[in-house]
Amino acid sequence: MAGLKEDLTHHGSKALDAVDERGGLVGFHKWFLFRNVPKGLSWLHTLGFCLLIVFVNQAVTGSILAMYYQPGADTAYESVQRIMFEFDFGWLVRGMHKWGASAMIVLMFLHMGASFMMGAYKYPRELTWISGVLIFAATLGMGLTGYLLVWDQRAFWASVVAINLNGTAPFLGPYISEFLRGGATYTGNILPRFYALHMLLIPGGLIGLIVLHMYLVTRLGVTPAPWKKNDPANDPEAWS
Amino acid sequence: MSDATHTPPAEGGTVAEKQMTRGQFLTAATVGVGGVMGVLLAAPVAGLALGPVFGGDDFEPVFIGKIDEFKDGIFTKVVLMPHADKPDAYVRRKVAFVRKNKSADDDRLALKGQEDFTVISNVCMHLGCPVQASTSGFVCPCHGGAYDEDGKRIGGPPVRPLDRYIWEKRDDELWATAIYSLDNHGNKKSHRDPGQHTSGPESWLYPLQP
Repeated sequence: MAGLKEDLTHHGSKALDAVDERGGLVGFHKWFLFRNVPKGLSWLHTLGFCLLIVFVNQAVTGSILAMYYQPGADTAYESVQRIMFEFDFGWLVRGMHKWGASAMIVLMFLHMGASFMMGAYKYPRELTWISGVLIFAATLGMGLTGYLLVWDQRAFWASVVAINLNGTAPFLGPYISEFLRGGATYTGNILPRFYALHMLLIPGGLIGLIVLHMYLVTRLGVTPAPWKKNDPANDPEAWS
Repeated sequence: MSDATHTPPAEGGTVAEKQMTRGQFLTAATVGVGGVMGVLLAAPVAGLALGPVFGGDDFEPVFIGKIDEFKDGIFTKVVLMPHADKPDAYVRRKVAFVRKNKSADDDRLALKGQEDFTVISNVCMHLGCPVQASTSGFVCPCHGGAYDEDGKRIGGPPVRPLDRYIWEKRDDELWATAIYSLDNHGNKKSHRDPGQHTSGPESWLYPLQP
């Protein structure tokens, strides 16, 4: 059966060539993943990838939870209860989403702290840092809007406090809080509003920002750790 | 004539020399027409998203209670149910503390003509948690805000006195017809969110209310 293996390799490589000829995907794949990295990488350099994995976890579990969640003043809480106690693995998927959310915030602080310590915000990576800060803000927005959706007492009052906190921003604050609340007073409309922000608007922006962030990281490369800056192996001239 | 497009325009050239090329015109037209179409498409979408911000305060008069329920000098806790017929009425409900006053001096923050009853909102003026009645007035369980019996701040993070309802008598019933915010001297201000100052320099940070 040696012929089969050869056939598969042959046809597989031809198919890959055909795809690459049309989409340039092999070249992109090489550009994206087969990069030179500086000497002296540590676990701290893996935090960004951890964040990406947690984000994918949030996106997938969130999409599945959305099949069962019903964002309405008289349905939301009951639908969460059904996810927890009625549907198979509902408790587990919701747990993954809930704990993943906390993990994402924690990892984000660690990633930001590590990048700061490495001096990764300096020239030429300023835009990477700025896009990261925007991702940070969008992720906090995800946390804010997701918290309400559970629709229990804690969810509601924590959201009231958070909305009023936004309302104290100078000048625009009163408008921001009305926008979040969807009017002058709290009504059932706030649930679908936060649901749309949590499911569609903020994630849409977040995905765009993550793509930009990763493009910049790939284009500019990884910063050598400060204590490895003078290592001859980390001289950019030596790489080319 | 047609040469004008091929020679670079000289400083202070004639009108013909400054005319745009076909390419420049098409670029400008594409950006211009595209921009107009984009604005036309985006305007109603933004209007739907931002509409509630400019919707104003839709306060509708709400029943507080029978007048003989309320006792002199003692607060009674009342649940107000505006839009009681709507399915989300339990989200819209408000809580107020109502006190009957013997004389005009019993309430230092009362508006003129509103001295007979004190109707205080239970929304804390720090960040909006519900305050509870206490022996000295009102306290908030969230961050420890404290108010005296007229709703004036005596401690903790709140930035102004508790909001109040304007009441009116309808036969033997008490009704709330509006809600308003107060500055530290009891002057009436437009109703605004908790956490926004109404007195002192910090109040300058909120010149406009939606």
